Parts: sequence; C-alpha cells; structure tokens
Amino acid sequence: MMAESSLPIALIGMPVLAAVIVLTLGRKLRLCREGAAVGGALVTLYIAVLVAAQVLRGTELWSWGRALHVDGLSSLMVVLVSLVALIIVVYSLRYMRHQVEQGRTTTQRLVVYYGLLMLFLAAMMWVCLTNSMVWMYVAIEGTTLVTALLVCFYWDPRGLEASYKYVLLVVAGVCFALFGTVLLYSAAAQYAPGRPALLLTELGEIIARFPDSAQTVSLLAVAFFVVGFGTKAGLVPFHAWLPDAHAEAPAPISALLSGLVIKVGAYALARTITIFAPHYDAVIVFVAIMASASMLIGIFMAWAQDDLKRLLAFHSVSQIGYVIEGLGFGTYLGVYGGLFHLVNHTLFKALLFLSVGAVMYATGGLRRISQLKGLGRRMPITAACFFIGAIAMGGLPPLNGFWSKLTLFMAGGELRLWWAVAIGVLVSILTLGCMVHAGYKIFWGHPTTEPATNPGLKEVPISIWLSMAVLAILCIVIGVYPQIIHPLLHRATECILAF
Amino acid sequence: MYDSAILALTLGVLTTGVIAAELRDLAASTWAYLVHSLFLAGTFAAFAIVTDSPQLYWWVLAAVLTKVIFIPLLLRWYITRHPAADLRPILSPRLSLVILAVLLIVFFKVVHTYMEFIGPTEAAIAEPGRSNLAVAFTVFAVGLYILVTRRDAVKNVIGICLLENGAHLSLVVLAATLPQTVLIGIATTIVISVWVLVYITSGVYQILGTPDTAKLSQLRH
Repeated sequence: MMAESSLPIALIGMPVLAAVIVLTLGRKLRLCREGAAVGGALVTLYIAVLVAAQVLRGTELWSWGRALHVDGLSSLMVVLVSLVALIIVVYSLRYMRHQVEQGRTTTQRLVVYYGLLMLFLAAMMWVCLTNSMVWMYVAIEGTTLVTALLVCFYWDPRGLEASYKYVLLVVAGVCFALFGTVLLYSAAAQYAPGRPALLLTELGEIIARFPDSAQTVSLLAVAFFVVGFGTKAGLVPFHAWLPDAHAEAPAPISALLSGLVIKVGAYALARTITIFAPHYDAVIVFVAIMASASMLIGIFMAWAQDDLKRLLAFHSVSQIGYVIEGLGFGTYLGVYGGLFHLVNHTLFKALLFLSVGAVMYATGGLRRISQLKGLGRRMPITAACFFIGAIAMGGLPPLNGFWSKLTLFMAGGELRLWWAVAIGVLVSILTLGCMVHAGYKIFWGHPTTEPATNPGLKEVPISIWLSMAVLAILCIVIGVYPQIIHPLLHRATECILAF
Repeated sequence: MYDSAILALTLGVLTTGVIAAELRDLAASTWAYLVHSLFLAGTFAAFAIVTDSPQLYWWVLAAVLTKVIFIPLLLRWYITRHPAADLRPILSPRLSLVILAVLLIVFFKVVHTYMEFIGPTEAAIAEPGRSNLAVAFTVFAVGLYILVTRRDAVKNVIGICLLENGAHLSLVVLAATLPQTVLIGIATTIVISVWVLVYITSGVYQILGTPDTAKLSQLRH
C-alpha cells in the first residue's frame, strides 16, 4: 500500500530547521547551539522511527508527488542514520567543549560545527529519501561538501590537506556516477520510451526491458556507478581520500565518516548495481573481485598502521568490501547480508572511533599504539567498549558482526564463489587478530609508562562513555538476538529484489 | 548551418579547455576557462534551436550564471588575494602538450568511432550529437589529466570544473529532457564544490604559504 505523507519532508526539514537555529542564535545561547542540535537529531530519530513503523506495517510513503519515497531500504537507512547522528551529537557535547579548553578551537566555531552536523543530517536524509537518480547525485555531493568542512574543522595543516584531497577525489569520482546516470537515462529513452527513467522505483522495470544489444551500455553504466559511488564508499582502488580524512577529522566526525558517510556510497550502489546483477553475471564477478581486493588491501594496510585512527580507517576500506560484495551478489542472502553488515559496521565502527576519541580525550590527544599502554585499569568502560567493537568487527559470536559475515559467506557459497568466501574468512581472521592486538597493546598490562601512570588519567565523562555504551549494547543485542532487526532488513532486501 | 555551428562551438569548448589546462598564468587560465564556459553555453543554445527544446534555454541560463559568472569570480577572488603562483607542472610544458595532444586525438577518435556502444540513441549516433559526445568525453579526460599532472590547487579546481563540464555537455545529447529543477540542482552543486575547494585552498595557502599540492605531504609520513 502507498500513502502520501508529510513525514519524509519533516525528516529533511527538521535538521534544516535545527541548523538554522544553531547558525542564527547559537553564538549567543548555548541552548540554541547544543540544545538545538540534540533536539534536532532527537526529533529526526523520532520521525524516522514513525516512518519505519509505517513501512513495517506495509505502507510505503510518498511526498511531493513522487520526489520523495520511503520504502524498506530508505526506512532502514533513516533510522540508522538518525540514531548514529544523535549518538555522535551527544558525544560531541563534552568532547568539543574539551577541545575548546585545549585551545584546538573556539566556542564561536562550535556554532559552525553543530550547524554543519545538522546540515549533514539533512543531506543524508535527502540521499536516503529521494526517488530521483540525479537528485541522489546532488545530495551525495552535498554530504561530501558538508563533511569536508568538518574534516578541516581544526584548520590545521593536516586537516586541510586531508579535506582538500577528500573533496577533490570524491567530487571527481562521483562525476563518473553522473555519467553513468546520463547513459542509463539515454538507454531508457531508447528502450523504454515514456517511462520516468530517473525514478529509482522505476529503474528495475526499465532495465528489465533492455534488449541484449544494450549490454555494453548497461555494463558501462555499472562501471561508472562502481567508480563513482565506490569512491564515496572508499572501495579500493578509489579509497585514497579515506584514511587521511578519517584520521585528521575530530573524533566524532571520524565516527560520522566511517559510520555514515561511506555508507552513502554503499546505499547508492544498493540502489543501482543490485538491479543489474540479476541480468548480467559479469556484474556479480566484477563486484566480487573489486570487493575482495578492497578487503585484502584494507586489512594489509591496517596491520601496518601505528596510528589508531588510520588503522580503523583502513579497516573501513576492508569492511566496506563485505557490504559491496553482498550487494553485488544480487541474491536474497547476498543483499540481506550486505545490508546487515552495513548496519553492523555502522554501529561497531562508530563505537571504535568514539572509543579512540575517548582515549585521545583522556591522554591529551595521543593516538599512536606505540605511545599507549595499560590504559584499561584507569579507563575500564572505554576498554570494554573498544574490545566489544573489535570483536564485533572480527566477526566472533555472539556479537553482531558474526551474523552478517556468516550470512555473506552463505550467500557466496550459494553462488559457488568459494574463492570469495575464502578471502572473506581470511580477512575476518586477520581483522580479529589486528584489532585484538591493538586493543591488547593499548589497554592490557600493568601501567608502567606515561600516560597510563599519570595520576590524572581517568575514565571519560558520562556523556562520552554513555554514547559509546549505547553503541556497544546495540552490538551485543543484535548479536544475541538478531531477530530484532530482521523485519527491517527483510523489508529492505525485498524492496531491492523487487526491482 | 546549425550543425556546423554546433561542431564549431564544441571544438571551441575543447580547444579552450586545453588552453585553460596548459596556460601557466593562473589569471589567464581563468579567462580561458571563462571563454570555454561561453562556448559551452553557446553549444547548449545551438542545441536548443536545432532540437527545438525550450527547456535547454534554462541550461543556457544556468551555464552562464554558474560557469561564466560565479566560478570565474570565485577563482578571481582567490587569485587576487593570493600571489598568482606559477608553479611548474609535474611534466615539462612540451611533454605535457604532446601527451595532451595524443590523449585528445586517441580519446576523440575512439569515442567517435564506437559511439553505437556508448550512446544508444539516434541523436547520439548521428551528427552533430556524435561529435558533441566525443568532445564531452574528451573534455572529461582533459579534466582528469589536469588533476593527475598539475601541482597548483587552482589548476586542480579548473580540472574539476572541466570534468563536470564534460558530463554536462553529454547531458545535452543524452538527457536533454531533464527537468529544470534537476538542472538547477546540478549547477548549484558545482558552484558550491568550487567554493568549498577555493575556501580550503585559501586555508592551505594561509598555513603552508603555497598552493602547491605536491607540498601537501604531511600525511604521507
């Protein structure tokens, strides 16, 4: 059933309104700066839950004619995005005030920080809700530009360098996706005249009408989508921007980048390549090769890092490979597993980046593994959160990463792509080893050197560890009781396969 | 007559794009980009007349506003506030020109010859659409070439603009019926992208004292 609703408009409008309040009144009143940001994210989450509830009851929502559309996949994304955005805003409250105390930024600049965060949330909502291929491209560019300004928020040489590379590479990369969209549009005009070719909801039907002679143009469009959206997702070999941007941004923004921004690319690929996969076997193998390369190169690079944030960034390159591989399989199990891993990676990677942020908060900005030892006794909550994230990413039961990886391996087996399954299992073992090794070095053992021996070292304030604890609990709950997320995932998978 | 005019205009787009890429003086390069954008707007206008598509006039307006006015203004704003550094490109000018010429000929020839595989519509296969699309892909390639070989941040911004212009030029033949709102969205995005890049480049200059992207190497260590 379909219904016209104003809720999708509210999902975009609420963070925009919050951004306007922050940017206009935030300089004078802290309530209008931090309160509006928390309120905006909270209300957005509430609306997202309402929307998801309607979708789960079998009602798809439309707004502005067919410009905005909420189906299973959109509802999954808006809930995930607004939840993680709220957690990151709450984490930022104390963390960014501490950055002001440390002299890294000023109270006045925090207005820009929270304003951009809200604009980012609005752009993310727009990506997830738009029903137009071209508007999706525009909204994805919007997320890039807003986050670029957040990456260089400290206005230091490293942040500026990372931000410059980020904008240049991602804007250039996403241009390929625009080319892909144009090719698809022209092919649709030829083979499915009269159909609204730019609507995502129509794409499946249009591509199904393509004759065999359209194979070249279809595969060319797929290649452009993979390059374009793959750049945004941080897929190898288009990942050069990712480690720098993730490492140099403020810690909450690193969580945002790894947790949400790269998922935009994965979401766009879910909306496009999954439609082609059932028609062209070459797409499945092509995507599986790209994804496996991403997994392998990401994990090998991660092992070579001493900087914790860069280590996590390379793990993102590796883990996004699982997501893209599952989506590329194009089967129920593959898409389900890909989306499940997308959700799980958002949760445990945000948790890990926030945990590293907590370590930096407590130690005055240290983030090299070689500089840290024995922090666990003084920072038990942070240590526990880090290990939960690490084990979840390593794919050990009973945490959430185990189930999504298992689903992906089963999907690979179903397609007889045993080499892809073997690479997936190998990378998973290496990931676990890398993360446990890093966690052991940072948190384990007796504190014998600075900063662990510093009497002033203590656990981070409650608003910081509470944000991490919520993510850790979600990793455990989904791991122990995966059925809790099954209805949303099932609905999202069905809506992709319905194309 | 209009077909010849379109071909002349698209050749103008290509030539001025190459000049914008090769000129070492940043102010002159910005002027070349402005002329390139004028040719682009002219191509849109010629297509509007030939195909009798009134919506393409919106494209002309958007191209003039964003590419002929806003983007050159942003680049001028940057150049007047920061000494127009004349950084040596990674390749010597002669070698760069030779590589660029080979790239142009090969790219144009390949795309023009195999258009049936790339553009499945009749408008794309027949002239002047065929040549226009070949030019669009070639301009896109020139943009990529600039990004790979130029050290100056402003030159890289021009490279991004050429990439986008290549994609927009292809829209005229392959997706001329796009709604105006979509077009406005695309045009606005490129202006904001350039603004963000110029803003960040200003910061790089402010802190490092140079727009040399080769010196952006702190993160390599």
